[in-house]
Amino acid sequence: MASGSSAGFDRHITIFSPEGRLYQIEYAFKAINIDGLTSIGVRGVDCVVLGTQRKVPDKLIVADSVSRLFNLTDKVGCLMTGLLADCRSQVRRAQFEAAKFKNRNGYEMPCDVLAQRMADLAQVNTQSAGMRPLGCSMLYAGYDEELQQPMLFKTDPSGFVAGYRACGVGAKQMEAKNYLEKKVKKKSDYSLDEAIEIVVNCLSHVHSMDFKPSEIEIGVVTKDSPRFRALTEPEIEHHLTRIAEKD
Amino acid sequence: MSSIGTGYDLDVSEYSPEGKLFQVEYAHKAVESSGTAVGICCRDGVVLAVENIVTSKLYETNCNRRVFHIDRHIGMAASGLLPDARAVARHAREEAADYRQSHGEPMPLSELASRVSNLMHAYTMYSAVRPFGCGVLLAAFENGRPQLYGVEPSGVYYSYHGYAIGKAKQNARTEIEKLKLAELSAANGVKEAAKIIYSCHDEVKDKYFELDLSLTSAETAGRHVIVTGEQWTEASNYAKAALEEHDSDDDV
Repeated sequence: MASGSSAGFDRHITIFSPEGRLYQIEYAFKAINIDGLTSIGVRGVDCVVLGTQRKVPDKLIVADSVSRLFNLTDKVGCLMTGLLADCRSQVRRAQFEAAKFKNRNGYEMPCDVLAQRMADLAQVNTQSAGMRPLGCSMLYAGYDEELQQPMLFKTDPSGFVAGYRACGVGAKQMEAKNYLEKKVKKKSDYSLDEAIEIVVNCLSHVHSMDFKPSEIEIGVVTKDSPRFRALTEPEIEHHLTRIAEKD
Repeated sequence: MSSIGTGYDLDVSEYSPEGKLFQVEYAHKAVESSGTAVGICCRDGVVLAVENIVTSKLYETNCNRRVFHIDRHIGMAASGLLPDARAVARHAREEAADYRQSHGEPMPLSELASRVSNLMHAYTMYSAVRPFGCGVLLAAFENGRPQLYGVEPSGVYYSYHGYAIGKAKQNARTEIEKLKLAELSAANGVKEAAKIIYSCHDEVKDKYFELDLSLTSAETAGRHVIVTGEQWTEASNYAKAALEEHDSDDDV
């Protein structure tokens, strides 16, 4: 392809390069991987499990305050990967959007509608000169009571959104994707325990390490328990032990 | 990977090819070249202390404190550009007062920390503005529990047992880790914080500094109090004595 000449700004603001690329968005994707964390999401037959590594950066930090799992509504939760400040800002915005929806329409904002809304907001940042795309990617988990279906969605800095049976985001995204594709090919109607097992095993596989209960965080939402919540450390320990014994 | 931006550092709305926001990183450097600010969660209170470097002896003492009242029960210490810190304090005060009016009760510190972080993060989003060149420590003693939050120029914040930012943050953090925070009373915490500030102060580079100290504890009934008078002198003397002892140890 012949390279046209650009004025040199295509790398600095979100305008097209002569090849049709948006460099600033590509750089925003790189920002997600800076922390080195990878997040995994797996959808089961009636549940969704989100999991990631938990790194407490400093001994002096109150460990409970370090978490990338957030409730956007009672029912819908999310797992954030990327620049922490951008993550928190986006979570606050999502919480606001969900509350606004409920106030206006009288019912809870469904997971997929919220994901689409956040993606639309992310797109605005990619088309304004004075703004930058947020350096974070969001995994949404919810159980839709109307459709009687678990939902797993992912949005990213470019404004792309899609539903997934399983997905990975972050530094080891490629390895996670390969691992999950192999698993989903064989079977995709997971129970809660099986979904948790896949998330934990995928994380162990891509990071090549076994985790202690305090080094991993897992969020779940199921048909029977449709409120998104983070598993406590004893619960995580129970699952890790169960998985280890299985091997 | 370059550590300076060259070309990708002119706007905060611009990522570098590695995905870094250099303007935010430079804002951190502004904090790192300023006097150290320290926060300690003691058993029954929170202490804030700042090495307030004064550039001229002609200034009135305590004219530019680096410790701020945010509400009756919340205190803020800042390191970095003082005008930026005052802007953050102004926003925080508005938020806290607003909350008090809407909800009829004092603002929980966790909520204020979240709002301050959101504010500081907002200034890292647009090319028309620049990030705040200051890091802040927010402290309160709520429901019998001491709480300390540290917010960086990027908007990242965590809850801490102890925290230090500024020039000598590494030394200060090491000193804080040595303290047994769960057993330390707030009254003694004031002296220990003063000692940390004095020991981290670089006599050669910055001759003259003022020690800004504040306390929010069970003793003050949860009110944020700026330490002055006898308590300040006591803490300051304790710190100076500890420093001399340390120096004389070196001589031996």
